[in-house]
Amino acid sequence: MKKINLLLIIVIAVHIVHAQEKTLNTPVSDLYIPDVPGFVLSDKAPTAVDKPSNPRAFGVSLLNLRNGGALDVTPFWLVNNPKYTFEKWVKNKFPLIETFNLSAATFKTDTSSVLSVGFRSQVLRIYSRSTLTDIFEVKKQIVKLLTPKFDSADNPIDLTRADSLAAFKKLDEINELKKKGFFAFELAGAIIGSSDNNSFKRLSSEKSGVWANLRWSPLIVPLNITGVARYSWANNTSPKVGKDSAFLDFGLSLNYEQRKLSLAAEYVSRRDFSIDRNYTRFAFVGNYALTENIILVASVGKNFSKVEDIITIVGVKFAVSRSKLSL
Amino acid sequence: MSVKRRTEPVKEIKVNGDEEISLSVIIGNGHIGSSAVKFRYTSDVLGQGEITDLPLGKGSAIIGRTLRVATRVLIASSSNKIVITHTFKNGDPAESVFHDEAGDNHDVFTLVADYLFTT
Repeated sequence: MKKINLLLIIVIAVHIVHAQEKTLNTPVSDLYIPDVPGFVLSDKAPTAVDKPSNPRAFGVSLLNLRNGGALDVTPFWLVNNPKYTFEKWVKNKFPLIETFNLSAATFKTDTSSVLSVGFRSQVLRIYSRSTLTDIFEVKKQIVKLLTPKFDSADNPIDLTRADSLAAFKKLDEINELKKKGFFAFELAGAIIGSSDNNSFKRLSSEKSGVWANLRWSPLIVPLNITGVARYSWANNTSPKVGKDSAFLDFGLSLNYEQRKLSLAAEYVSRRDFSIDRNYTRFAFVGNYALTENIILVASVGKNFSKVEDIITIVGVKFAVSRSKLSL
Repeated sequence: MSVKRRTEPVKEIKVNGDEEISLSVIIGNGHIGSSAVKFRYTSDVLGQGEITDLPLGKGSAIIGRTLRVATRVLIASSSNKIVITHTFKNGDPAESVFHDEAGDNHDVFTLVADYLFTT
């Protein structure tokens, strides 16, 4: 069954790639759809050390057809902000509201259906002075390219194809610059509920968690260094030894990015307070962008649990085009 | 890549003959844009690029004339919504806000707006 699902995903993805016949203008890291907090908390996400990313206005993630998917929305970008200029967005060091992202995820286990809701938001985002200078220099070039010229009847002459392509290329340069020479601090949280008979009436809270992600992207090398500190606890469970299950995770991830491909190695140490024991997770994660809206994701490694601890996730993530959403 | 153009009907802006009138153009939603401004049926372009407090002249000098503002926007943020604000200092109404929507990332939108200055 899994093989059929995987084959189906690939067939759909390839079909869409050919149907769109579109070149990939945006690098994979920009396309990277953040793992929604519900997936991260349930250890279902390909990565356990998630990096703060600029969210899309609206996104859908589908890990695979059998296990379910997630939907996330960033409310700020769904409404018009007439005075919110490009400068304000880039210079904003505290984009708490602009990056506040809500998500819902669902997946099935062998015995139950699981529903989760979560949030994430960047509390702090600082670009280096050099990066800001570079971004605004490229922006100036875009402004120059976009400046309308009038014909003899005072009508603006359409952009030439060459100028359009040059402007798009400059925009890609800005997107590349935005990923270098910056530091970000993100907060996230989620709550997971499960139902043993697929009924909302039987849905009960199972696990909750809050965490902080740090990301540092050096100016020169295409690497991201990401860290996470996460506290999670079980709800509505019988106490084990002394107290309910509660975990404290500390993780570190090293991420290498190219235009279509991103590779990450991550290590997470987990302290289980209820049984006074430590676990570790080690994984390699790869993302490959087929198009601007479809990303193949694979993760292999060792998960936290003592049994069935091999991680093998192969899936695809979709992002719904922003243009589809009008509220 | 899609290019969209929208032309607005002429809008009247009341001005006082003694006051200096100026124009600012704000591109919202985190996008990048550029404008060109001229009085119709003249050859001189008054301003181009990012327009902030562009002097248009005294009210008495521009009454009866039509100003053309062309603004071009490139989608650059997480939103596909476009919002452009033209602000006339000492003009009534002071602000004209235009909302539109682009198809997808990398789209270009051009707005053409005419303003007739009256007393």
